[in-house]
Amino acid sequence: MSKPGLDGWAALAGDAHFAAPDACTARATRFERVIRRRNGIEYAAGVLVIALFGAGAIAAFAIGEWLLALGPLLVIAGAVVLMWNLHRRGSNLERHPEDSCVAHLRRQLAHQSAALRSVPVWYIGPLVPGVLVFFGTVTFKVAQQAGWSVALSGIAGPASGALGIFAAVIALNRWAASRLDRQIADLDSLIRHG
Amino acid sequence: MQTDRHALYAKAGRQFAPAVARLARAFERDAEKARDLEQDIHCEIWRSLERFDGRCSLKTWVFRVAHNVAAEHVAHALRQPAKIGIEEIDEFLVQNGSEAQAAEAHALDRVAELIRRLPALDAQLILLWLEGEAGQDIADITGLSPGAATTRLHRIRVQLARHFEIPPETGDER
Repeated sequence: MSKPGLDGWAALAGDAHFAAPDACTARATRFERVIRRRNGIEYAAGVLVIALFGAGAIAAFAIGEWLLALGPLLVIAGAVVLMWNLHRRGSNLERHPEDSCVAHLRRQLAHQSAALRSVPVWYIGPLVPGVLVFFGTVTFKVAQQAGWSVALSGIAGPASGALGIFAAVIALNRWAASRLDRQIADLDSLIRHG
Repeated sequence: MQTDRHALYAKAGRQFAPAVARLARAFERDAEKARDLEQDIHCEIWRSLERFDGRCSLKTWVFRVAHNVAAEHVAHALRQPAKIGIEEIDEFLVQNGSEAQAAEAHALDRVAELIRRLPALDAQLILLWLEGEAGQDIADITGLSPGAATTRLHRIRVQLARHFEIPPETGDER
């Protein structure tokens, strides 16, 4: 250790002391609170999806439209898989703040980048079969009554909207991942060249 | 093992509690949030010491945990000020200066404000330098090579020297 870099700095907070270990037993750190809150929002959204599509499936069953119930049931299954993926990814989060700052930061950036890039697989993917079956069965039912041109023109808007939302979510996540990748590249360059 | 952990934590507290408090207050302007961050760091140190295996010194371990938790705190902040690069330090300090800037307390405030505006790694380098760390110790804590850490710190010091009285670089820092 050499002389402190700025006069007066080392004199600050001279009376500080560590919290008692007991105080840490029940304490959730900010990091844990952030993860918990984010997961809570995702789980709440999942429950909402299950409730809405569950009601749709029940309504379809009630009028004897078994085929129409298939789409909502698959969406519900997709939402359950999605929430399981969230839980699994959260549990697998390795946390070693005792690693060097560069290693810790790089691992976090890489973890976030990988999570964002794989959104089509673990986040969007489970919902796709249910959405496709839902649109397919509705189109089929309408086509039986009014013909395919009416059915297809009627479904084109909602289907494009849903696919557009999926595409936008994927594109935004890929863009965010690219930004993180640039930060990782900068960090690697910094490690190599200073 | 638990006794070791308690003993290590107590030792770390005796040696590094003020440095951890300074770090928390530098990274977080709001006093209440800074106390919260400080406690988070204590708890992360306490939990991490269960894994302490002596592969680095206690000081390196404590500083790594403290810096990493503080960097996460900044990253998770809802509102972050726009970050500046090393080459913008001079301009930033000019804009944030005033006639009273010679006052020591004000100088420390300005440095703390600068720390909040720099990317995490540069902020960590300045803080370690402020704590009197140098050369290999900074390299061990940050994970940069000694050469890379020294080069980057030198660039920061050149900018700071235009605004503050800072001690000249010594062989320790290289």
